Amino acid sequence: MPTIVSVDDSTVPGEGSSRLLLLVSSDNKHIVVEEDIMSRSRFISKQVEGFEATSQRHAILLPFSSFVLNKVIEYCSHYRGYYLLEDDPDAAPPGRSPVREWDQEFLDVDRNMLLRIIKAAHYLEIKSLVGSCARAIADMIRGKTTEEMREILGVENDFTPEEEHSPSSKCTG
Amino acid sequence: MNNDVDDIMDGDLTELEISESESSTSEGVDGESDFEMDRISTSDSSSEDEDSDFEVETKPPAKRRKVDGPKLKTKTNLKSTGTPKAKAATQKQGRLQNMLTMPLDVLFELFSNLTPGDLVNLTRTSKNLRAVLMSRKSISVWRAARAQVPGLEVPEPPEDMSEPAWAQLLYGGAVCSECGAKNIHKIDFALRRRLCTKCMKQCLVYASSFRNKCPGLDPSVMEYLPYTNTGGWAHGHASSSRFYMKSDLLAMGKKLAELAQDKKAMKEFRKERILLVDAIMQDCAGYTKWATEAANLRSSTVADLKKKRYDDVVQRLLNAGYEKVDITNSQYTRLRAQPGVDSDKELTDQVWKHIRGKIEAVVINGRAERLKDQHERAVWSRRADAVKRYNKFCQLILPAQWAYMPNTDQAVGLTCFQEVYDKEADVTSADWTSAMQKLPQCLSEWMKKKHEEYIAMLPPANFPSMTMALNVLSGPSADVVRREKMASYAGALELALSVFTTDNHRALFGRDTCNTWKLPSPPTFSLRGASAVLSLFKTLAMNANLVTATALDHLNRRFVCLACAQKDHKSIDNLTAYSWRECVEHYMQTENSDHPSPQWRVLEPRQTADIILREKRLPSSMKKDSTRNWLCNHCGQYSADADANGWVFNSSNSLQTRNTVVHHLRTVHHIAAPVDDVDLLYHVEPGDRRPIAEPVLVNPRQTVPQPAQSTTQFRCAHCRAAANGGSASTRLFKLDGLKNHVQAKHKINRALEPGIDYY
Repeated sequence: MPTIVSVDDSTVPGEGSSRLLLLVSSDNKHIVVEEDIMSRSRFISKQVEGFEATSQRHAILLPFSSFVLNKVIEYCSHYRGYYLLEDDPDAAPPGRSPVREWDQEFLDVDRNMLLRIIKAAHYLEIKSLVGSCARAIADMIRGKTTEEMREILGVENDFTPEEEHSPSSKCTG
Repeated sequence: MNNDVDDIMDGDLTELEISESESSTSEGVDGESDFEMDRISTSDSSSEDEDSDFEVETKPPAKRRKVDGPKLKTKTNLKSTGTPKAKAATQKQGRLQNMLTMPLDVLFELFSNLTPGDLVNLTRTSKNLRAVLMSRKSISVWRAARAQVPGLEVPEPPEDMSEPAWAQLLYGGAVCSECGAKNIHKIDFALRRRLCTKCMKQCLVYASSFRNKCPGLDPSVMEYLPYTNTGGWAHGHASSSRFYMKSDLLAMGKKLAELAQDKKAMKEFRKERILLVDAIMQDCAGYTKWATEAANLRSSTVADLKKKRYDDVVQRLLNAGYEKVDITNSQYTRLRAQPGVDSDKELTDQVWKHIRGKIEAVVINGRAERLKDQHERAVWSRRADAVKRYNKFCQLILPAQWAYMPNTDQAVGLTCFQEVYDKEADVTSADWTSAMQKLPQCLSEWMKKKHEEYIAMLPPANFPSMTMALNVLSGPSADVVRREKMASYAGALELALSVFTTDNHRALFGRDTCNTWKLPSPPTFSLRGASAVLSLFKTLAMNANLVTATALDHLNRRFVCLACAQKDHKSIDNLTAYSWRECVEHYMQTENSDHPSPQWRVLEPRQTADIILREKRLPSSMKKDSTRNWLCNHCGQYSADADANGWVFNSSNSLQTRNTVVHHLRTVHHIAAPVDDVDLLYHVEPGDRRPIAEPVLVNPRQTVPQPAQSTTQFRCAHCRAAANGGSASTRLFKLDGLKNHVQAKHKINRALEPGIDYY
């Protein structure tokens, strides 16, 4: 579980046009990032609002590794200052995530990493990144037969022989 | 996640056939929370520590749980034991097995990007996934998937169907709902099924046959069920016929029986069902129309996408440096047949990387075939040139030597020409000049090889050796060769003793034997024929090892067969007179029992002269002369009016009758008395022999019938010769009239000869 701990003010260089945040990954790496970059994360925004209420600055502990965190920061840095409809809580539900070329290259990572990024994005409440990851994962599943899906998802066929041979189970698209 | 059974959408269970036990397993799906959110636990991940999975980056994927009991032979199992290459690819890409540990809203976000068909397939992967997708929470996923189907907008599901059931019906695969037969594309929207013809015949009940098919069931059940107008038989039913699913009828009968006690409920139920059936039947036409239009649109779109994919493949090949001619023309069908080409999917770099090898192999193979084809065409063109040049060369050679030379097919295969065909670069006139300079040497080698092959078939003997040099017509020695040396041109093969025969049991000698060098299979040496010749020489008291067939021809003697006289008890006068060639064939064609050994008697010169005269008067003899089979041995032209450029070696079109050639010799070459086999030649096809005189009786009791009977009429050969190719006189004469005509007009006062004086 994430924890917010008090830190010494001197560890956070908070003066300047954009305040800095200290993010601590699960592997205990301290990453300083401008608040402005992470404003796309609703989770971070809520934390920052909490800092203002208590007039205390804190390090934010996150339950994923620095490697994943850096990827998320890279994403947020790329879209710094951009308006993305999916991330607007007041906008209508965007439906299917739009295709963004940069996202496709950004998410050209192995499947395990992709899952970690989407989990992190979900934790940080970055809807646009969740949507892009979901689309990338869906692309791996789309158009596959049942057997291929089982292979990709690593699930066993746990239907009984009767169910296995029932008409609906025979249909493998 | 809510585990209540109510959470499972109505209708899904029946349509996708989830049993109660399955839905109960969904209890194990929910409960645990990761970051205080719902998640699905899967059989694969149940033993894993969720946090560590999330946090530790380098942890290898957990081992898959071993399934107890015999493994089903599924595609998965086959794949898992597949080739190392396939395994490596899966490991490299990694699996998405941790995906199912995702929070539900993430999963739903993910599923929202799939098509209805993908979702149906997902429900078939495992019980857990099925339970997730069948929950009420996931209805938005199904709706989103339906909205994303490209092409025509997919209609909303009917009132009596859930989203998953509707997706299953529309996109659950083109298989029969009853037996699973494939390629059943038509959906019966009234019955909510796809049915193959066999199942239609088995499962549908024709309304009129209801009592027979469903005995004991109240026919009123049909009022509460939808029906189809399409039965399993192509003929015999009107288009308005009603067919009901038997299983639906039985279920409805059961339901009505259950409600029989409660009249109010029964009334309510009946009212609802009637309204529902009306609605279903009204909507059917709209759904069917939509399905047809959607299928057409999809088909058209798929065709466009396939074309685009093919064009992309072609463009990538062009970019890689391949020539268009190797890609688009002859290779179209082969390319389309390659895996990965005939697809409606977009061609990505990754896919191209995967399929490129095989496709390039096809193109490379196509290019090799094209180049080979081009080379073959060039070779054929060069061969045609070689034929023309060889024919021209032959015009320069003594025609009597043509029989010893290869035919055009054999000649164009000689090494001197082969070098020209094999040349990679364009052939120049210098190449042809070089080839023609080498041609005489190549021909000599060819003839020598054939000669040795035939000599080897003869019995061992001290035959004189020879060299078969080709003689040019215009050369100084041509006349000497023509008159004196051709008789022994092929050495031992020219001897009368060298008797060869083909399947037709005809005796071949000298030039006719050598003419068979043009055949694919050689004749055989005839020992029986040789013994007949030996016997003839004995009769004539001549040395068999020195006399050629031509020399024996010049003797022009006639013989009788003493074996025949002995067998038939005939006197000499009643026997048939044979030339020496006829004697050999006669003996070859008789049985050993009749003719155990050849025995001949040579006839007196006076008798022979009489016989020869009678032979000449025979129609067969006259026919030989009048056949267009003769050629001039002085100029290489078959007739005076033949076009030198249009002349073709061995073409029977250019042959002429004997009279024409004789006239040509007299007028063009000024030879007053042309001699057969010296000045003019009878053309013989390879494997055949020159015609020999028809046998006549030694001493016929009656006068030999004259060729000129009172009814027979002839034309004057001198008049035709005078016409010189123009329209000759068509005047017909009886023999006496002809004599008078020739004496008066052509001043010829000798006995008339057929073929020379008349025809």
